[in-house]
Amino acid sequence: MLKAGIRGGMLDRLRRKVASWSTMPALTGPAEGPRSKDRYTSLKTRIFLLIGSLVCIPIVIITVISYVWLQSALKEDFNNQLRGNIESTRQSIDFFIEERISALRFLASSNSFGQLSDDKYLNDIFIKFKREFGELVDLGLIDSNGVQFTYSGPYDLKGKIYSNQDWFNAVAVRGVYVSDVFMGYRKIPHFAIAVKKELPEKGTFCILRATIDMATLNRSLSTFNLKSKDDAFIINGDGILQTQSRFHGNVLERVNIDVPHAKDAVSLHELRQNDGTPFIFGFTTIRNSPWIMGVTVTSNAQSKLLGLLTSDITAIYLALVLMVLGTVANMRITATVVNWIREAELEREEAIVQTHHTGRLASIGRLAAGVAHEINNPLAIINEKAGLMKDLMLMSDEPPDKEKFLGLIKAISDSVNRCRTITHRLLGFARRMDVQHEEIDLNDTIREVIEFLDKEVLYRNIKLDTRLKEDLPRIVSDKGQLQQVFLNIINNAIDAVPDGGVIAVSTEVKGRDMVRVTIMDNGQGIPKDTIKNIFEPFYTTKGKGKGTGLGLSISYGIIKRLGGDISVESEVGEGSTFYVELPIRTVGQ
Amino acid sequence: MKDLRLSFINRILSSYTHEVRNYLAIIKETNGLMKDVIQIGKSRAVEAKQFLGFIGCVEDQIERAAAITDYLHRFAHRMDCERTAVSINELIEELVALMTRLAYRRRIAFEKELRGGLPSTVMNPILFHYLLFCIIDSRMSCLDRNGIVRIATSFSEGRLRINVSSKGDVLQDGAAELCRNEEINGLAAELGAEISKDGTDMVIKVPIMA
Amino acid sequence: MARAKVLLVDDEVEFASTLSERLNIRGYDTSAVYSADAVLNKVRSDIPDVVILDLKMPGASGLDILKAIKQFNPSIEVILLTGHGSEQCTAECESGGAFDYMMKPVEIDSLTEKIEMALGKKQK
Repeated sequence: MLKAGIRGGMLDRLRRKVASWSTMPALTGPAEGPRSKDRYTSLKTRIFLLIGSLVCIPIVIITVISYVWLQSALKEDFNNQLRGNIESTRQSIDFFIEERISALRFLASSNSFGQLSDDKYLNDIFIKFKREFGELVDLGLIDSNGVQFTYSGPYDLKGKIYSNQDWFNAVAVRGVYVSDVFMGYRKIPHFAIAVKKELPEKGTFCILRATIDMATLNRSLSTFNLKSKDDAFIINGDGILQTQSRFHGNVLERVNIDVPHAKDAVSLHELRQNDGTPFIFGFTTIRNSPWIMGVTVTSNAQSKLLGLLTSDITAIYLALVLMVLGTVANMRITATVVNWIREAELEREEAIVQTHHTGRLASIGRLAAGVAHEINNPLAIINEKAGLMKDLMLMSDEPPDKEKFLGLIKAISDSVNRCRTITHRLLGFARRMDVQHEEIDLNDTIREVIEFLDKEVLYRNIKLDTRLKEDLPRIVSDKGQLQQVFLNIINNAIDAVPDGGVIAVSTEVKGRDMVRVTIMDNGQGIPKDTIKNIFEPFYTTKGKGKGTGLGLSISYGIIKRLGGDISVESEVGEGSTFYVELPIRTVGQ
Repeated sequence: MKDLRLSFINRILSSYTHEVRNYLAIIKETNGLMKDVIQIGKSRAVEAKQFLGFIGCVEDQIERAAAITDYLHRFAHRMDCERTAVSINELIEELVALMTRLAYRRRIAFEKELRGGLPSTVMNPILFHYLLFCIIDSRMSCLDRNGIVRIATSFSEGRLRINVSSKGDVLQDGAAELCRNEEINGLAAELGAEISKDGTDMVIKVPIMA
Repeated sequence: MARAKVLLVDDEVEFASTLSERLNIRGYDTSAVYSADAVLNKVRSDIPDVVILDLKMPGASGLDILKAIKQFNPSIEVILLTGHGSEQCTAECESGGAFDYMMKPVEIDSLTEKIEMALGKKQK
């Protein structure tokens, strides 16, 4: 018996009440509900993205700028290098041809026509020459009539007449000539160099002509530092390939590139292949020849840059680590900031609740003091009436009149009734301060609220239409709190509608265990972005100083605490509809 | 917590209204009786002696109703100010007067032994009311019918000491549990007071300047 | 000696009329007014010796009426009736020049005692 605890005690009941409240939404309603959790999550996301973009955007800009800058620098460097390579290759080919021409000229000038026209002599020179320059195919002397006078070489070309060939005339005019590549009799690409030897004593001339294997030039080209996708070749002025090309055609075919006009200086052009792959085409003329040397390079600056980056694994790791660290830091900052906001909001909400409570305490104080005062007046009257009765009996000489007494007695009775009304009101008020579940008629509850607002509605000529469903099941709820909510919503509706507007209040059964109250007005309506905040504390659509903004959030809190739900639909200019749904029986009952 | 305070005020107000309604009921009945006597009586004159008795009764009820209303009034004004100089004895008088109806419903009576000349203390009076209410309420709920809750004040070790003890058939000893109660301790801390247990008595020690 | 004139001011008609009748029985020339507006007119037309004034009345504060009466004729003594006594009330009464204050409901004997004291003060 002694250990049973103070089960019946008030503290215990209060504690249980607190425990049950903690599982329900706070008085301020939605701020603690699931909606606010979403709000903080989305806030978190937004702050995270904001900080992330604040950090990332400059980084991206700097990266792009440096990338472009680096790329152009690399490209220039690359082009210069390419130009240098082409130049040096061209020089070696120039030199090769020039050397051959000089050698042939020397042969022509150091030997007399008689010596050269001797087959044996020419053959000696040919052998010597060939020993010196291995690529020599044949050597021949052609007289001014274009007849091959002497010939030394693998073919029997002695006596062949060249007078009708272009090169013969060209040599006759210019003194030196380097031919395009031709296949010759052996089907080996080779070219000819011819120099003119003046014979002043005879007043005529002869031409010394040497045919050279193209393989030598190919070798010269191959000195060009070629990568697997690069190509170097020689073409003539008409774009016919003089050497074998890797990608652009075979010897004596037309190269598949549009070759612009070549200059002595190296030109670089950026072109695209048929499949769209970009490549650089570098070309330059080869001196003392009809040729143009061309180089195509597919590996470019970008691939070089990419290669530079991918080759540096540490840099990539470093970048990754920095990114991860940045993300973590961002998340931490975001979490901290959101926590600050949450704490600030909680503090504010507590302040609201506090104000609310302090306000309630003070108002209860005022009310109780008022009641005490109110009750004193009728008490004073009773006192005086009773006193007068006494006076009449004790102080007057005549026996008191019955009628007079009856009047006094009635006065006492009236005063007692007045006192009872006051105490009744106080008791009702006291009862309503807590959630008090009782069986109530929702329709009656609403009717009472409407009666309370009748004057205002009448004054503004508002049509208050009630369609309260008869035989609505009685619900177990808190009448006082519900009236507070309906009063609040209908008051808002009265504020929203113009004079002569319509407010419709209806009740209905919803599902098996809910009832629904619909409060519809044809007022100004609520904008979409307002609706989502409408149940939040401090939110008000009324002008400054008009609404406290606490009304709907408190209504929300009350309805949630009563196990119901409150929602709103609205169309600007058409009006708003509030739905209050309440369980017929509260949880646990 | 704050809502619990509202709940406590609610009970005080209910207690008051019940009290007043009882007095009013007596006045009403007496008044009705006077009316009956006059209407039944044959002579035009009123029987003086009988009526003086009725009137004395009405005056008694008036006096009592006025007294409790005065307590309510004072109690109500305790909510005006969160920190003020108060007399502990006055606070106890008010609370006990307003709780009388609550106690009477359980057939429990109050006894007071309030030492005169105690220094006043600066505190939040409504919080003290609440704390004392909780303690008295728990004492009452531990007592069987016809028990007595006794409240005594004294001054010792520079602090005011309020002793709440109970006499009668004890149903259970809630004192230890009360000392551990978070609500009670939180309240005491807010007041700067200390709650302890002395045998089966509950002791509140309140500093002069909290 | 002429009967002392007492003016009773209270918006509770039943209370004021009954109390005035009782005071009349006790030998005072008592009249009652039931609104703040009527007080000063009454005081001017028929100067009372003592005014018994309810502190809380609709329309005007009892303190303002007290001051107005004192301004009109400082020799009129005013006894205030209040719902409840408080320190603030005491201070206000003193500053306004009231003779004393009493709490409702009043005990008729203590009220007549106060009236006698007020009249005694006046005669000095």
